[in-house]
Amino acid sequence: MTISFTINGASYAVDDDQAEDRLIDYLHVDKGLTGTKLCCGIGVCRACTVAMKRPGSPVETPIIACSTALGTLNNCDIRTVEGVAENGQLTALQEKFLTEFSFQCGYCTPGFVMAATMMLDGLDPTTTTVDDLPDLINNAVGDHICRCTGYVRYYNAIYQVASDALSAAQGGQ
Amino acid sequence: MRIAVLPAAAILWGMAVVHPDQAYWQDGLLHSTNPVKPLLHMSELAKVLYKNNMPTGVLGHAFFQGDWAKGTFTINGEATELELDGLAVFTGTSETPEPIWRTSVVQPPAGADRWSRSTWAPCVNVVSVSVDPTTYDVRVENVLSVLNAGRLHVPELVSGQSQGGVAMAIGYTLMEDAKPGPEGPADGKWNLDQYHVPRFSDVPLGDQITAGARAQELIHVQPLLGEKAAGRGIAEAVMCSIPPAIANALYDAIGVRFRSLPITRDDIKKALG
Repeated sequence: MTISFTINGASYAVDDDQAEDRLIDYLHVDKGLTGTKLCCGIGVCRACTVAMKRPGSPVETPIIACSTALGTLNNCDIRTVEGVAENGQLTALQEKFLTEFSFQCGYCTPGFVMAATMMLDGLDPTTTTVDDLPDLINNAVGDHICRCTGYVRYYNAIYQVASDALSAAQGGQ
Repeated sequence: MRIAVLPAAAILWGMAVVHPDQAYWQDGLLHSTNPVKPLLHMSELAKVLYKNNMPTGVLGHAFFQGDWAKGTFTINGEATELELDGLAVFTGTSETPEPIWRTSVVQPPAGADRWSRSTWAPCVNVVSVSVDPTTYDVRVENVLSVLNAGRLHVPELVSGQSQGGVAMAIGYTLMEDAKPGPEGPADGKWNLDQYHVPRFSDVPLGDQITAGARAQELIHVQPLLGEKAAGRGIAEAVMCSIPPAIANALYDAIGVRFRSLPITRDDIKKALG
């Protein structure tokens, strides 16, 4: 038996005896994808957040790579921070995190990028207004921990990208 | 001593003036070097001070840069050098201090600004909190930080560093708790499940204080005349006054003074009875 999944669009299969291995170790050691950061290792700090799409599901959901066993990921699609930019082109959110100086040491940043990206991908401009954004942002990254820059500049960056996306989709109203 | 205690003692001891080397405190009583004079309790001295509208309170201002600024003040007719550059007294029951103007001042050595004050970034914080009387949770609602970071080279970094200081100080004051010894992190098993630090959702996220919303606003003191181009490092300067500001806000909210950190939910529960 093997466990099959994709990471950033590429297909992989691992042997059953790796079922209890942690996703974060597989990313780091087997695949050399070190962008996802290990911090507390017990699922509290959210630094290791990656996106996971279950078979048949249209949307990604955040999972914590430090506390996810490979055996739970059969036929799932994983996206890590390395899979966010397309063809080397940073997304609007990544650009905004940089221009806003949202972080200093950057250790929590991959987790913030993944969680906020999923929130932005799920924005429905037909039902969402800017008044909904504070709650949506808090739902997405409220549990994340940053230890050096505080959170205001992350909040401002996510809010601006989200409100820009809403006003673009709603015809600039 | 010179401003209030010795003049009051002079009246009680029937002397024109009592010099500092003629009196000393011992076992809570003021002694005269002349054994004939009676021992004086502070309450007797205070009575004399209030009765004669003499000084009952003192405000001083000190300045340190490698050494203290030393001001000379005329106190009871005598030129007196103190490690203060400003002095005022309250007399009797008055709530308005009256200045004692200094007659001269010796500033700290000029060279000291090269290594002491050049990187010193003072910060004042004003904090508001709310206390949930059922869960005993304390929530920091607003933080106003007034920071002297000198010349700002990268304002975005300064504000991020400042906001990081606010977040860390909120944790230090209200959340981060660790027992010493084997009962604490020394057992090697502690992690963020036991040592709680502020999360995104724990801090005010706005950057302008407005009614009905939570924010942390940063005001920069304009660079002073003669401020050098190098700027100052703020490090964790913004943190320092957050804990006392939170404790003061809690006193304002529930009327209880907290004098040790962290101020936990259990402390609030105990205080509210």
